[in-house]
Amino acid sequence: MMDIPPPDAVWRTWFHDHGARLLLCARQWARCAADAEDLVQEAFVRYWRHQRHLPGEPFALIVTSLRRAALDRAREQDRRAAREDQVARAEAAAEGGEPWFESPVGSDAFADHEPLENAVRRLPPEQREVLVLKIWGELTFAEIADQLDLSPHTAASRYRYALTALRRHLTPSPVSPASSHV
Amino acid sequence: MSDDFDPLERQLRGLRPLAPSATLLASLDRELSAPVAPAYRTATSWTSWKWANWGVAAALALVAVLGSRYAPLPPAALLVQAEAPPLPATTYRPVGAERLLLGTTDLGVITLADGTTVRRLRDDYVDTVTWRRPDTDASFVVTVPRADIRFQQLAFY
Repeated sequence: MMDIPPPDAVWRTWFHDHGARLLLCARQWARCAADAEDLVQEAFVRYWRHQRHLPGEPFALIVTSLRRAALDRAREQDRRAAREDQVARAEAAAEGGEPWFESPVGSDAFADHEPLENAVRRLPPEQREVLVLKIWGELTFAEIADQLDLSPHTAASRYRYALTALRRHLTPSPVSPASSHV
Repeated sequence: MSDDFDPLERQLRGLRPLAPSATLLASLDRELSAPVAPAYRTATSWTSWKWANWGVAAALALVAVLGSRYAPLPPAALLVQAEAPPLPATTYRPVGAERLLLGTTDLGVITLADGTTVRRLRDDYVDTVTWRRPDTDASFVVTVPRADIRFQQLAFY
């Protein structure tokens, strides 16, 4: 359960706590980091100015705004641009570009973060967005289904497929018998 | 999810999303620090200057009433001329109109410039008007398709 900021809270406090997770969600629907930040700015300003009084989880409300802003932008482009955008986004997600996660620091840092991040980025977009909303957005399957216009069952299935694919990516392939004899 | 995936989910939660850039924070700071023009509100106290508008409106209404009372009446001939002349029997005139709602299409949810979230709906109608000529009883029907776009306000719960 997320903290609901009191009406008089300074936006910086809320954004400090949740801004990074919002940005990660925005990246699922944006072409690059700069576009994702634009979406976050648009959605957060709209929420803070006009929707702060609404009941419900602030994070979920802002994610809703984020997705709609991303869809509105996509509609503004023509079909060709949208197709190029989709390809560019898939390539950017799969091949790297700007990192999505912080590099771990300290001796107790999680050492395998890079393969894990790469594996997350290589997931099909429809699985990745569910995974991101579940793990880092901390939304329930019902909330994710609502955000993405899916049934909760489909959201849960995609999440499971994503975890299965991640585990497959991260598990080293067994050495084949032929190569072991060489 | 399940115990099977627990270690992987823990690993994933160990990844910390990258913090937003200083540029984004500066943009937010600039935008949220800017004063927002307050929405117009009706007067809530008797000392508000906004009551002056009602005074002005009342004075204008009084002037209009007095002006109409003392203005010279138009001659009767002019009043007769002002009435619509009767249509000749050879003219087609509308004798029936019908509006049929064919269906409503959901065009999706959009956010307006003021931040209001609304659903866009399109109502498709067929308007049918029947015209008839009294002297011959001839008639014809005009059918016109029409679409209305309307917004339905949404609320988050």
